[in-house]
Amino acid sequence: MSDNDPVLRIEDLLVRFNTRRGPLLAVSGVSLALEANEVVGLVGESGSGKTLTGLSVLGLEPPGATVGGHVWFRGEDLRAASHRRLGEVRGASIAMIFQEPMTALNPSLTVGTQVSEVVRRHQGLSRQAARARVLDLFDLVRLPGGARHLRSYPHQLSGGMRQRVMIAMAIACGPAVLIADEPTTALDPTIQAQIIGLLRDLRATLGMAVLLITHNLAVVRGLADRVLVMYAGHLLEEAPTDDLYAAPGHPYTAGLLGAVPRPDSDRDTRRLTPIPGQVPLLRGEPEHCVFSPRCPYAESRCLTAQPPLRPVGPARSHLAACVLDRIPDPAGAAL
Amino acid sequence: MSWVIARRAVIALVTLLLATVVVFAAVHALPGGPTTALSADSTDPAALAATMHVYGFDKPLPVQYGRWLGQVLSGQLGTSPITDIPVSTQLEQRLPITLELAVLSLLFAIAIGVPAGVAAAVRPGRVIDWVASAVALGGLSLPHFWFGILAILIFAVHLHVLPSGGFVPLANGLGGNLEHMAMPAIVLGTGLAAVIMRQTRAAMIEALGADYVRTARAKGMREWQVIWVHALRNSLMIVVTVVGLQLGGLIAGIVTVEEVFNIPGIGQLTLESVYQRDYPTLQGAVLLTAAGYIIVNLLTDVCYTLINPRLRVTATRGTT
Ligand SMILES: Nc1ncnc2c1ncn2[C@@H]1O[C@H](COP(=O)(O)OP(=O)(O)O)[C@@H](O)[C@H]1O
Ligand SMILES: [Mg+2]
Repeated sequence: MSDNDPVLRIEDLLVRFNTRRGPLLAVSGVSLALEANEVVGLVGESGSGKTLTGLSVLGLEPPGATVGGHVWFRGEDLRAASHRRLGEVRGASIAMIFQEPMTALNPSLTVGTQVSEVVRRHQGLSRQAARARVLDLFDLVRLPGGARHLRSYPHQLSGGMRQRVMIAMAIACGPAVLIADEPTTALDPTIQAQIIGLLRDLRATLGMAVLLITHNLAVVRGLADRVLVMYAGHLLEEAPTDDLYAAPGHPYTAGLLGAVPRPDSDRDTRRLTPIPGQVPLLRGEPEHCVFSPRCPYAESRCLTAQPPLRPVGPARSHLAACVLDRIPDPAGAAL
Repeated sequence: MSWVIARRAVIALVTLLLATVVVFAAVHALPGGPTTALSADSTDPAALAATMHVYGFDKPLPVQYGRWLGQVLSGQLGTSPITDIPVSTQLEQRLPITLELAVLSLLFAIAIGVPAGVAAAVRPGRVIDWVASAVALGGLSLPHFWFGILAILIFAVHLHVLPSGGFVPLANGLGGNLEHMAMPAIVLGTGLAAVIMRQTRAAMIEALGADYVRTARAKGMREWQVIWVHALRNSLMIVVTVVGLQLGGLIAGIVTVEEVFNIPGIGQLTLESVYQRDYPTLQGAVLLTAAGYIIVNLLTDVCYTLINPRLRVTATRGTT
């Protein structure tokens, strides 16, 4: 394995449900790679399949999901790994944090216990050593009050403190990959900024790759090196963060960017311009571009098949799944 | 927290006081009276009247109640006009027997109900779930006397593995004691085991779908830790509540089971004193049973507060 091999590579991920109202294709052919130390943003509206993508990496998809494809981690396909092996990888090599730190923490165990059981499980530390390690971790995530909270229960902490505890749990064993699913969505704006800052610092000091899942493009902009845009189970665009913001290659991305309040604009003219319509539920592979029903530029050739990702713009690293070579109004004002 | 418990204790005491009224009224509402039973031994009306006077049965009911309440408050419960043994002595002799029976059947119910509920919840809709649920339904619908007699027929009469009834004190050896207690405890505890199983199953199914269980798995916790630590901890609250609520049913079942298996506990004492219209003994036994209910409820509340960290905190805030 050479240095620039990706540390995690998802290949052709497919997640399907058999619901009472027929099959549901939640993730369709998603492929992505994380280089060591890289922060990749996975963005898209709610319901586009981001969480399922993250969960599938660790084999945590909900019961009833049928998952296809591969998840390559250090040369091993985790989708083919045994339960036992997954148990060794989860929380040690690949860790995950979730959106809602209140429900994601166990209400009847102290946060000290919940953090220490990770290091006890994976590093075989004694009770004493684990306790010391937990205190270090509390420092590392800048949990206000630190040692005082060893015996606190989650409901005794604020939302931001709970998320710090979640992060402490996730980084406890120095994972190579951190999957952060909407880590700031449930928090107040000021706390959001603190958590983003914390994640940025931790990435720098600990050196881990981060898959940052969010529907908030502003969060991605502050943290990610590269951005993947997901819609109705499909990847529609992939680009280095700056390139994506400078010139989105897909009308959907342009629409999402239009929905971000621009900080430079005047307060009174700052407006959210959401894309009309909503994410469709796919029963099977669509015979048209998945975004075409909501796309202002849809034309007849968009209605034959889902276009594959292809290079757009000057950089080879900028890919978009659109037949257009450039979007008529990149600012997205027309949407 | 101690403030909450203190408040509960005061409520319990008031309830107990009300219970004395109810017990007294209920006992005296029984058809017949002490004369019915006493007159069997003595045909002389004058002697009978003298006895009635000694025990105060010739006084108006409110006076009798006041006298009894005074005795209760001073820790005395009177003396049986039938056997001439102080009521408190009888209760002291029989209470440990009933307590042993109750504790054994509670332990049996928990030992069976919790693991069965967990096993059913881990594989909902699978064979183990069906078996556990069917057995639980059976356990719930069996009347104690019927189940008791069936058990005697099978294990004592046909298989000769257990005695059909009677009691051996603990002091005479643990083996003999347990041999006699096993069947009654199982018969008494089966219904509770079924309730515990069902509630544990429901609570565990919910817990196993919770976000924190997903977090535990994402941390790489072993499956037994996920089930028995992370999920079960949150289900225990429900189990404790149910056990508390159902212990009343257990107490009610004690009378039947003690009678079927001929165990000389409080239940049998209650029945005997009903037959003999032994008012002081009956009042004592029923009052003790009522106190049992009230104490069980109090303990349930306390357990609930101890297990639920949320209540614990609100309660602490309440004191300061
Ligand atoms: N357990 C499930 N059963 C059926 N459908 C599900 C289940 N979980 C998720 N889905 C569907 O999969 C789609 C993608 O979900 P998700 O990955 O949570 O989206 P996102 O994280 O992007 O908001 C949603 O449309 C949702 O309805
Ligand atoms: Mg999500």
